[in-house]
Amino acid sequence: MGTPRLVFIGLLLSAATLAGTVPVVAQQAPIGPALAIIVHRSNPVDNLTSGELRRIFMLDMQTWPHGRKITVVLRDRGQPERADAIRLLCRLSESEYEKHILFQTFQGSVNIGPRAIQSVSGMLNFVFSAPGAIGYVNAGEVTPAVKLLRIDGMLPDDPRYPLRRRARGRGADER
Amino acid sequence: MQRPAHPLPRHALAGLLLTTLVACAIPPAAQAQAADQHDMPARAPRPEVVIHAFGSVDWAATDRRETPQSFGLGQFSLFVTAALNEHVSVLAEVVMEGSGANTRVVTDLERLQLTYRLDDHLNLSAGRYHTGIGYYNAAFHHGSYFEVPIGRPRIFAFEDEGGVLPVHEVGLSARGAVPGTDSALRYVAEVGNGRRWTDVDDAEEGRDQNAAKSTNVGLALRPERWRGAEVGASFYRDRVPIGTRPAAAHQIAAAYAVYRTPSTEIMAEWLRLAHRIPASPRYINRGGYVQASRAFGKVRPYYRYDRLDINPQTPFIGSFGSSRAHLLGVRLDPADWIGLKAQYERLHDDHVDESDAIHVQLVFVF
Repeated sequence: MGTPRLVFIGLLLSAATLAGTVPVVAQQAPIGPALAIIVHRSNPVDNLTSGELRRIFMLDMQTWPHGRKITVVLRDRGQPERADAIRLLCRLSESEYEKHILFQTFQGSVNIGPRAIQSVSGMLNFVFSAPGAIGYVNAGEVTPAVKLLRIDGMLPDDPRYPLRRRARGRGADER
Repeated sequence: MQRPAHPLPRHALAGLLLTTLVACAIPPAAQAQAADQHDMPARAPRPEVVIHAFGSVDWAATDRRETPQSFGLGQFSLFVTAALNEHVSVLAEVVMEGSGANTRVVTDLERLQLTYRLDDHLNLSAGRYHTGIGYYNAAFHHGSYFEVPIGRPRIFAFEDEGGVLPVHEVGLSARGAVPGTDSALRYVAEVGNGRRWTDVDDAEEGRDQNAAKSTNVGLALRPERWRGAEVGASFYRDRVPIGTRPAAAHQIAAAYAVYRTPSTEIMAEWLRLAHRIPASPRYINRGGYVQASRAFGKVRPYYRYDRLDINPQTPFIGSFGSSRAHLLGVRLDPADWIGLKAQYERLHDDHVDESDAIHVQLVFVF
């Protein structure tokens, strides 16, 4: 009599996990470093609102106000810096973001998706070289070779700055 | 076959528009390319081409004795896009439909567009496109991966599947965000040949049947405050030749409200089709759908109510028949880029009265 019940409970739990109704991470992750948004030094834009930033990274907005095409730069697929940035900037998982980009491409709204960069130095070099580029690094990694943007009028050292990653380590959400 | 009375001025105008588009595209693009040698440091000098393919395998069974349950291959959609430079891009979608029995393949060029992108406010395209009538037609194309239910709403069925709309057209289109609205308000304007409603021989395929061009304009509002929400409307008009009789005036008005996020989808759309032949009554037909789905992890149940009311006296589409359908199904995404849909469908149709069907579809993209 016990075996069918166990099987049934097991099936229920499997279905609930598949459906995402069973919480996997319950711990609150501590606050980590701020995400600094960087552009080419020649870019006349100094400040972006959170909404504009989201539209840029979602590729809904593809040209700067001065007319140059925006080149969105992300870290490579599978790197935690990529998933963190997508979650912070677009409020999507990496998988949802990839589907959104493909959907936009299929609609004809986007030709080439975001660039993927392997490392912090690669990100800084790309943004330094590309006048239309927009990328991100941790606040402590910004160099004078690139321009740091204000988001909603705030720089990363402002405690109200909206783009803060979760700290990594035990208990941190690594999704 | 009716010929235009004065083809030269119209053709000249179309040619002028096309020339203007090409002229607009080339010089700034060439300048941009020269000025942006550092813009894409990782980009090779040749155009970067992105290729995707969408496919599906189906199984269907109905309670109609004359239709046995069967497996089938869906459309195989090959999608290619490339940025020729900062402002100019191309897009092509080729669909191959195969028969599982003998692997015979029918190929259709469904989309081919050259697009000049000035900025977010103006995108000009020339070629074959999906008309911006309502929401569904411009959002969902031949690859069925992105569609939650199996199949398009009846009102948006493709022309070769008994569709009542001009789903595809050849012509020019402009679209973009209305300045000063933070991209919240978007427009589309299209000028095309219109749909061919009569059979033509191969020599005439691809040309317009008359000098009158179809036009379509639309507006859509996507408020930033409600991400995923969109409301919009469009209006299409054309003049369709009927043998030696005066051409029929054809108008399509569409309105929709959509809320789409990765987890939730609520879509409602309603269209009104009007046909008017001089000295004849005006025929009004209607169609639309309401659909909703909600994702619970990898599982997404959905429902669609689909309706099409066609007056049998209407020219061109009177024989297509009215229908009402309830679709209830579930979609499972076991892995990225793979979807499995299972759907029960109850259909009331002019031709078959009432029937029940079960469809299963495996969709994938690579």
